Amino acid sequence: MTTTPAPVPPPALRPPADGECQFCGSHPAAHVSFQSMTSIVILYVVSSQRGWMCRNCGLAMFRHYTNKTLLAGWWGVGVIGIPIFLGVDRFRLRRILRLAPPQPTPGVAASLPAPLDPGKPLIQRPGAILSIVLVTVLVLVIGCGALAFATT
Amino acid sequence: MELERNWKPYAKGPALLVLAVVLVFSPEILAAMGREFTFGSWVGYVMALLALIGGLGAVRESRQAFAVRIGAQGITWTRGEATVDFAWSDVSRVAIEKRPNAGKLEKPSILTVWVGDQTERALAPDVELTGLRGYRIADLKSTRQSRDQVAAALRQYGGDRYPAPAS
Repeated sequence: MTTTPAPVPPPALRPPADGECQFCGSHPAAHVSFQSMTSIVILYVVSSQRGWMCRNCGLAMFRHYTNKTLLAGWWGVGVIGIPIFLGVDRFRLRRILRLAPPQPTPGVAASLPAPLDPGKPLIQRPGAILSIVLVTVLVLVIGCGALAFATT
Repeated sequence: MELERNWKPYAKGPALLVLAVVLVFSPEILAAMGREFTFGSWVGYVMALLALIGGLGAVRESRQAFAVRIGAQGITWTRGEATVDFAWSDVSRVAIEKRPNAGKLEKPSILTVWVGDQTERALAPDVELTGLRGYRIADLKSTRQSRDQVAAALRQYGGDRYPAPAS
């Protein structure tokens, strides 16, 4: 009589732990926080994403939040905070860029099957294009105004 | 072990309703102090409305039934009129986790039950991962039982389903 070995149960899944990306479960990951700012006349709203992120997911989040600031930050008092938000997010990105490429972690269940696609570089996104246009117009207006003032 | 609410969920609603009343009269209060809202009295009324909505929501939440029982059979969770039984055989993992989007220094306080099956239960899961569903059943900041007491009960009954807690 032959006996068949009992099937080995699959390893129990677990959610991502510290050091594993909260989106895709990959490792290595760093704990970072990215913020964006929406400015509406006299109000401004700050939204943020905190947690453990791998290199790809972190870069995707950085680009998403920075693009959002560049699109929505211009329309109120919050405009003065745009350089601060951009600088702080860029500073925090350094921790993400120092990470090795993400590797899947066996036994970890995550909301995404693979790391996020970082997407287009920031300069090719609507927020950056709008900001370049707005800053150019602003510089031209100020320049023309200064020129007109100087010639009178 | 049974988890019970502490005073915080019961105090939040009334506190917000009192705040709403104060904000309704905030233009008059400021006028009595010789001040006024820079952008007009409507700012006070909008904030009062937000406090009223938050207060009513908090009162409604605190009046809902809440019970969590951790025992040898599993975890029983009651919220409002719904009760969910998590047998230990169904539970992949039970953990005390940080709230979503929490800062690095925040202490874990959310008791979360992770199940691997796709059974429909009376309450919807809070998190859905591939092959895993998470139910956030209690915030231990709002319970009389401390985090250590709950951790001890989970260690006693849950065995290796309760991992070593994150600091």
